Amino acid sequence: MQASDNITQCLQRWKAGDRQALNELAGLVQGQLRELAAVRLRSEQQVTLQPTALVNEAMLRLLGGEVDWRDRAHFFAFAALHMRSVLVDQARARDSLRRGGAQVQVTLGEDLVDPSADLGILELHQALEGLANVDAQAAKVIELSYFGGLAREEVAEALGCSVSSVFRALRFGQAWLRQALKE
Amino acid sequence: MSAHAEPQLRESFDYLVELAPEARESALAELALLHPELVEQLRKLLPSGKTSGATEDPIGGRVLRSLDSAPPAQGQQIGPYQLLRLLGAGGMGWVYLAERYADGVRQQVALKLVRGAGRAAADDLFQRERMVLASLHHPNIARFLDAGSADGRRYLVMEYVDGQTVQSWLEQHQPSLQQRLDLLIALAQAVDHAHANLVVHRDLKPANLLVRRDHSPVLLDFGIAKLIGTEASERITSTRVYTPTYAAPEQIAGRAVTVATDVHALGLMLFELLCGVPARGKDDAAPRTQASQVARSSELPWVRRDASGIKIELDRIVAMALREEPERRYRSAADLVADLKRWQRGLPVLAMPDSVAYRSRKWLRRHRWGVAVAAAALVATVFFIVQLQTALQRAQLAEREAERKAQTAQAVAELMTDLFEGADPRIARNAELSARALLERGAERLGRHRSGDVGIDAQLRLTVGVLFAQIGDPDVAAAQFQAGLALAPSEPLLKAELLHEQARALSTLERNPEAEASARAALALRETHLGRNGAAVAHALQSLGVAVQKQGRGDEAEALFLRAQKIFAAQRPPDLEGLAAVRHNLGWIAQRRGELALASQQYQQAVDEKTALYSAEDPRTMVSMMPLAQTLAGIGEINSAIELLEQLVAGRRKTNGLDSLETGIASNELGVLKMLRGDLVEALALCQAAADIAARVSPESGEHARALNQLGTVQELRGDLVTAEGHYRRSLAVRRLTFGADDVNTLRAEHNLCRVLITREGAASAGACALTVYQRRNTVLGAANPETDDSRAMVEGLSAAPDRAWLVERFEHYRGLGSTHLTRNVRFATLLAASKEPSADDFERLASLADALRKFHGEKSVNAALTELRLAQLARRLSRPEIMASALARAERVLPAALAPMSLPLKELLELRALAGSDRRGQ
Repeated sequence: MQASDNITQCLQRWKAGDRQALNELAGLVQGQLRELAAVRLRSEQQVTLQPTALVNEAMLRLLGGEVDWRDRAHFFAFAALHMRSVLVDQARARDSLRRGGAQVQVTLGEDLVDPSADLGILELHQALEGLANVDAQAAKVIELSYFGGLAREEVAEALGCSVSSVFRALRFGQAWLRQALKE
Repeated sequence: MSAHAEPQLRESFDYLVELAPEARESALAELALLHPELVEQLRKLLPSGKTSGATEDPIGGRVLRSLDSAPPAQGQQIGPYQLLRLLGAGGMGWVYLAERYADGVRQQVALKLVRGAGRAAADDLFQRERMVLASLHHPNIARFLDAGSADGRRYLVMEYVDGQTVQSWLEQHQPSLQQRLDLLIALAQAVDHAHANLVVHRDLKPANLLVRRDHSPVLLDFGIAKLIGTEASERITSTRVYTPTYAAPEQIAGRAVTVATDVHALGLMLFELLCGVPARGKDDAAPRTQASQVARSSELPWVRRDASGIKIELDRIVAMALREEPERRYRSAADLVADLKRWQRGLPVLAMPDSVAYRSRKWLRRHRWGVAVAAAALVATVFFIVQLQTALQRAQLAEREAERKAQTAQAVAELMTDLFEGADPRIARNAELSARALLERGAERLGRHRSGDVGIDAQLRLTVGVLFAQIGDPDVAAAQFQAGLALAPSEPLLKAELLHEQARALSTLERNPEAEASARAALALRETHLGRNGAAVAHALQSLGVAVQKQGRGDEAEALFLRAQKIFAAQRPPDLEGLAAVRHNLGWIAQRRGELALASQQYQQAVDEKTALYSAEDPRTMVSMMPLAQTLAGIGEINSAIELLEQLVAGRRKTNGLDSLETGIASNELGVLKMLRGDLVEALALCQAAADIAARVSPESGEHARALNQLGTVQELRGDLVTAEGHYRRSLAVRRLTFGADDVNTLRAEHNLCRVLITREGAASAGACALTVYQRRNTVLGAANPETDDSRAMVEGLSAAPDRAWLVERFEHYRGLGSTHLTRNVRFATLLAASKEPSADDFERLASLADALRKFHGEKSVNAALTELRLAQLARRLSRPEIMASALARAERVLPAALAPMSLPLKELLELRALAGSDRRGQ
C-alpha cells in the first residue's frame, strides 16, 4: 500500500528532525485514526474507555508487518498528541461557527445543535494542561490512554517506564481531572 | 498551588490511596497538622467511601462525544461512497459532496451523514427524513437516492444539485420581477406536492433552496419536515425546530403546525424575492408586508429597477400569506400559486385587504379580553375566594369582628358561586370571554342586590374595581370605586382604600384634578387612622404626587415623593419596592425640570433596584427603562440609550409579545434614537414594526399615529418626500379620528405634512397651509409655545423678507434650553442662512449646531450633515471657499450613504460639489 511507505518515510524524516514531516504524517493518518477510534469507542457499551490498542492497530494497518519499537513509541506519542489537537481544533472551529464566524452553505436546522456535545473537549484539554503543570507524567499517560487508546502495557513501553507506574499515574491523573472537571 | 507542593501532592496521593479507609483518615488527620492546605486538596482527590466506582468517566465521555461530533475527513469511504468535499454542517450532521463509482460510471451525490447516531432523537429524525424524501418525486425537490449505515453511522444520499444559493442568484443574475415570481411559483408548487403527500416542510427558507443554471429552484433538506397526522398531538412539543427569521407565529407560539405554516414561509420568501431583503428585519420582528414600498426605497438597484411593477395586489398577496391566524391565510400553496398567476395574467386577485371592522373587532377583543390579562383576573378571583374560605373557617371560632369578615366572605362567595353557576357554558369554555363576562356580571349583580351591610357591599365594589383595573379598563374600575364610595362605608380604612384605588384609576385616565382630590382624601384618612409613618401612607403620598406632578406642580410633587421615600426607608425592614418606585418618580420630576443628568441617575438607580427586586424583564422594571433611555439620549449618551432600548424591545417582545402596544412603543422609541444616530434603515424597520403592531392592536390610537408620524420623519430626513407624505397623511387621518381636529397632536401632523408639501411642491402651490397651521396653533396652543414658533418660522420661510430679528431671538432662546431643541434650531438657523442678507453669524450658528448634533447623536448624525450642507451652500454664496470645502467634506461623509438615492439634499450636494470643482478651475 502506498500509504504505508509514506508513513515509514515520514516517521524517519520526523525522527531526523524534519518538522514538516509531522504535518504530512498528520494528514496521512487522521482519517484512519478517527475511523478506528470512532468504531472502537462506539462499540463500548460504557462510556468508560478501556485502554485499547487503537493506535497499535492503526500502526499495523498502515505500516504492515514488523515495526521497530523506537518507531512505535514515537508513533504512539505522535498519534495521541495529534488526535488531541485535531479534536480540540474542531471543537474551537465549531465554537466560532456557532458565534457566526463562518458561513455555511447548507443549513440543517442549526437549532438542533446539542451544545453539550461540543463543550467537553475544550474543558478536558485545558484540564489536561493544568494536570501537566502538576504532574507531567500523569498528563502524558492520560493522553496516551485516552487520545491514543493505548493499553497500560503499551503506555509503559512508549514512555519507557514500568506498568505499575503507569497504573499509579493513571489513577492520580483520573482523580485530578475528575476534580478539575467538576469545578 | 505552589510549585514545591506538587510532588508532595502526588506522593501523598499515591501513598494514601492504597491505605484502608480508617488508616487513611488518621494519616490525613496527622498530615493536616503540618499541611492543612495539602490535606484539603487530597481530600478532594481521594475516593470518598460513599461513591461507588460506577460513575460516568468524565474523560472518556468527553473524548467520545467529541469524536462523535467531528466530521469525517475528506477522502474517506462511507459505504460505497467516497467523500469529496464538505458542503455544509449543522446540528444534525454534515453534508458532503460524495462520489460513487459503479459499473464504470462515476456519480456525484450529496451525502448527509447523521451525527450522534444511536441517540434516539437523531435516529427518529433520520428515519423521518428518509421516509419523507422517499415519498416525494418532484422536479423541484432534491431527489432521494439511497440511505444506509456504515461504521455505525447513518447516511442519506440525495441528488447533488449543482446550483447556487438564492442570494447569489439574485446578486449575480439580478433576475427580472417575472423570473423571481416564476421561481417562487415553482417553489410553491414543489411545496404543494409535498403537502399532497402529507408532508409539511416546516423550515422553508432561502438557505434550504438552490437555484439551478436554468433558474429553477430545488428544495433541499426535509430534516425537520413532518408527516401530517403522524404526531399524536399535532403539536411540536420538542425543542424549537425552526429558524426564527422564517418562522410562522404558530411556530413561535408552539401551536399546531399545518400547511398554513409553509404558506407563511412562502409569503416571507415572496417578500424577500420582491425586495431583496427579508420581511423580518430581526428574528422576532413582525414581518413587513408592503413589498411595493420597501422595494421602491431599496438600496439594491435591481430591486428598484422593477419596483414600479410591484403593485398593491402583490402587497395584498404577501399580506394574505403572512396573516397571523393560519386559517385566514391561503388555504394551500396551490391557492397562493393560483393568485400569483392571476396577477401575472392581469386578473383581479383573491387577496383582499383586512377590513377595518375586522381589525377593530379584533382589537377590542385583544385589548379588553387579552388572554394573559383575563387569566390574571381569573387567578385573582380564585385567590380571593380561597382567602374568603379561610376567613370563613376562622370565623367559626371567633368573635364579632371575625363574624363580620365571615359575612363579607359569605357574601362574596355567594356572589362568585352565583356567577359561576349562571355562566353560559359556551362562553365559559372561552377563557378570554369568561373572565370579563364574570366581572361584568359581578358588577351588574352588585347594582341589583345589596347584602344589607354597607361595608360588605363596598368591599365587593373595591374587589371588582381592582380586577377591572387589572384587565386594563380604568373607566369601569373608577366607576366601581365611585359606587363603593357612594355607599358611604363607615370603615375608614376601607374608604381610604377605595379612594386610593380611585385616584390611581383616575390618574391613568388623565383626570388629574379628580385624582388629586381622591388621593388627598385617602392620605388624610390613612394619616388619621394609621399615623403618619405607615407604608400605606407612603403609597397614598406616591399616588398624590403623581396626580400633582401631572398637573405641572413639580416642587409640590417632589416634596410628596421625598416624604414617601422617608417613610419607606424607615420601615423595618425598609420597603425596597416602595423606594424603587419613589426613585422612578424622582427621576420623572428631574426629567420634567430638564435636569437630565440627575434624572438619568435616578432612573438608573430605579432600574437597578427593580432589576434586583424583580428582574430585568419585569413590567415594573421595564417601565423605568424607557425614560432612562430618553434621559440618557438627552445628555448625549445616545449609544447607551440605544443599547438599553434594544434590551427593552427584546424584553417587551418576550414578555408582552408582538401584539402589545408596549412592544410597539419601545420599538418606536428605539427607531427615534437610531434615526438621530444616523442609522436610518434600521430606524425605518423599527418604526415600521411599531406601526404594524399599532395597526393590528389599536388602529385608532395615539401610538399608531405616533409611529406613522415617526416613519414620516425618518423618510423626510432621508429625503424620500413621497413616502413621507403618505405616512404623514395617514398619521393625520388617525389623529383627527382619535384626538379631534383642534388637538395639539393633530396640529403637529398637519404642520409636518405642510412642511413636506412645501418642500416638494414649492411655496406657490402648497404655501397656504403654513399660514392656516400657524393661525390654528396660535389659537389652540397660544403664542408662547415652541410648536407655534415652528409654524411661524415656516410662514417666515415663505416670506420674501423673513423677520431675521425674530428668528435670531428664537434661535438664541432655544439654544439656551439644551439638546432637546437642536432639531428645532436647525430649522431656524437654516432659514436665517437662506434669507436674503445672510451674515457671518449664520456660519457660527450652523457650525455650532452641527457640532452639537454630532456631540449628542454621534458622528453619523444626518441632521448634522444636512446642517453642514446648508453651511457649505451659505459659504458658497458668501464666497468662502475654505469653509465650503470643509463643510462639504463633512456632509459627504454621511449623506450619500444615509439619504434616499433621488433625494433633494443629495442633488444639492452633487451640484455643490460640481460648483466647487468649477470654482477651483476658475481661480
